[in-house]
Amino acid sequence: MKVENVKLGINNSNPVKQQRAYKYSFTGTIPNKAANLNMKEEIKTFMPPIIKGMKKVSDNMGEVQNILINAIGTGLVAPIFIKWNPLSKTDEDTRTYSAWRQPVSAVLAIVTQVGVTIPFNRMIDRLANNGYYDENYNKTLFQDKSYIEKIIKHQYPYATKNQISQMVKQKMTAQQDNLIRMIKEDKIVMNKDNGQTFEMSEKNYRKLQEDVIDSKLADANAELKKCNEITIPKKIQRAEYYRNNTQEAREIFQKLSDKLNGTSAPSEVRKEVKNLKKLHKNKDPELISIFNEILERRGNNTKDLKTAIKAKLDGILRDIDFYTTEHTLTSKEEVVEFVKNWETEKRINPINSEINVLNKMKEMVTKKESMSNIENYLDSVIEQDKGHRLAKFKFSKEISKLLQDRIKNNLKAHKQLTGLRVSLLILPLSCWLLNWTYPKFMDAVFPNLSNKKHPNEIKDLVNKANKQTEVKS
Amino acid sequence: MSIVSPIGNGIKSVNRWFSRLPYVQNTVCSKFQDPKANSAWIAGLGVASIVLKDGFGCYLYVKQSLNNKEIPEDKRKFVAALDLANGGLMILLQVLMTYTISKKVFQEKMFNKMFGKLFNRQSSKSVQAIMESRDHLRGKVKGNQEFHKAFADYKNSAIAALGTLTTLIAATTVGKRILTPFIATPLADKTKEWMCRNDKPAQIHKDTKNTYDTHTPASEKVKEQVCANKLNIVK
Repeated sequence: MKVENVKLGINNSNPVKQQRAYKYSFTGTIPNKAANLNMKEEIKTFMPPIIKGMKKVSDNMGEVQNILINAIGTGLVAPIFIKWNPLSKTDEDTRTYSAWRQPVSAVLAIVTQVGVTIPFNRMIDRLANNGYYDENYNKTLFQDKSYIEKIIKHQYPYATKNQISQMVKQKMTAQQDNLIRMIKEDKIVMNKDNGQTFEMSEKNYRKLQEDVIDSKLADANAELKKCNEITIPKKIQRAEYYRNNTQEAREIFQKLSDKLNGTSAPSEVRKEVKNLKKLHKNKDPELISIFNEILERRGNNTKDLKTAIKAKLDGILRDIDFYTTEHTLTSKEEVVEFVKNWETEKRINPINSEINVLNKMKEMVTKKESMSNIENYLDSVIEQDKGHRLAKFKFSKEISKLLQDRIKNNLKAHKQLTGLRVSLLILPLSCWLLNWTYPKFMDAVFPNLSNKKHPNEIKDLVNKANKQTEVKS
Repeated sequence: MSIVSPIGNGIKSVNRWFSRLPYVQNTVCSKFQDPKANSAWIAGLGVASIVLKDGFGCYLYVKQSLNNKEIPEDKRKFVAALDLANGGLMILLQVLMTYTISKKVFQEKMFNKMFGKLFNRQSSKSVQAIMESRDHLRGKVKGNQEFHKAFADYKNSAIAALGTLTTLIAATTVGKRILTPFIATPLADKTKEWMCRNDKPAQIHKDTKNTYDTHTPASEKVKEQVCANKLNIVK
């Protein structure tokens, strides 16, 4: 194998016959965006910038970020509290001298610790992509985009940027398809950096299946609990308010809806809602609650805010009609019974059905039944009820996603611990550098503080001393 | 054969050996699988990393400051004393701040106060309505469990980020860089006295004698001296 190939972890030799069955091809197609809606990506556009920033921080948090936060505190905050410390009796010059040590120390910490941690992080990524690690850190079945790009650039040095980008997309899709195919066959075969392959342990594979189902079950149970404890009581309360105050509610919210439709500034409607809230403060608390819900509507710009408020007002007017015109409810008991029955039919029964199916699937996993059996069972359920809550649930795809997330998180943990070890090892060098740089920096920039005389002053002193010697002699 | 290759292989092997340790695989990695639920633990690991480095750094700094001939002798012990007082206090305060700030109750209150409005029911409904108003998303958002999952993912990320950031900032900036120097600087005076308890009076050379006082900055004194010299020349 060529030296360059070894460095990049490119494995051209493929002696194992069995491996061929799992080798991806370049015939994969780029997925149609509309068909495969990526909700995480779509929702991103509509999240406030601060939340997008927080997600970025959360995704990228690691040893480098720890070092940077620490260095910011060291370099920018610490000097202030050393120099202007009213409790210290030490003279100001000495305190200023000590305070300047902090920014110097911060810069050196960034240069040395981050300078070493980043190459180590890159090394870990490369090793994970080329199969050096065990199955818990092995990314050979879903390599990073940058890693694939590097390999393709190396294999096709004359390919254009567009061609490379196309090939990267194709390879990533092919890898994803290949992984799902392996899961469907209950056999996840990972690659090693030396060209060999190994199968993921049965225990870990079954754990992945169980965890996917458990997570889905937890979501369904939480939704069921929320429905019983929050949604139904709230709907009863709201329906009862509409039943008792049909005329008033319709007038208020129709007026607001008309006002919103006639303006491009939703802030005017918000203002009106605030006024109405003050005006009706002694009336039914349910009305105040509805006003608050309108005020809680948000959008990143005027147009989006208008859309959000409009959806709310339309919903209110629809509910008024639903509980008063479409269904005539004459007493509170009728309201309670109607809402409970309606919600049971529309929400609780489908959730219960989902829970039953998931429990059955879990049982099959425990009995170590094949993936095809489990998916066939799920398909048969959906075949009978096209609108089933699990209609869009692709078990093998979810396992693939969980496996990728799990390895990504394992690598994050591994990187953080490696960063800690490496920066501890580099610490003596940082300290030595600080002690070497700090006095030199102070002599050069603040000679008065370091008591170092300026060369001219030293020259004057020497001349003066020489003159005195001459006079004496 | 180049020496780089065996060193590189050695580093890789050590790294893989560490990744296989049962504590790393069973505890550390499993905590990283759910950053929201374990945000306090992950933040604690970050602070532990900084505390470890501070402890080791403190030892090295004190040792080196005491032997650093380039720092003026009359300031050397103060710098070392400040390092020692700083080291001890910063470790203590960082641990204390981490235990306080990373508490789940505190984190939840802080999150709800800062970002609660962005993740309540009305906010979720707003985002759904706005997404539904876009042509390519019409009819695909409302009632889609993927939406709620993605929305919750943003919330969990925000919780994890807030937990880690506030803990780290509280420990490394408030505890270590605001409270520590505030207490450590006067404590350093005492530490210096303790370190000098057996010393003979320092022989300070007249050229490097500290002539500054706390009332007049050194730069002002230099200016005064220059003015006085000029006046003498004029006379």
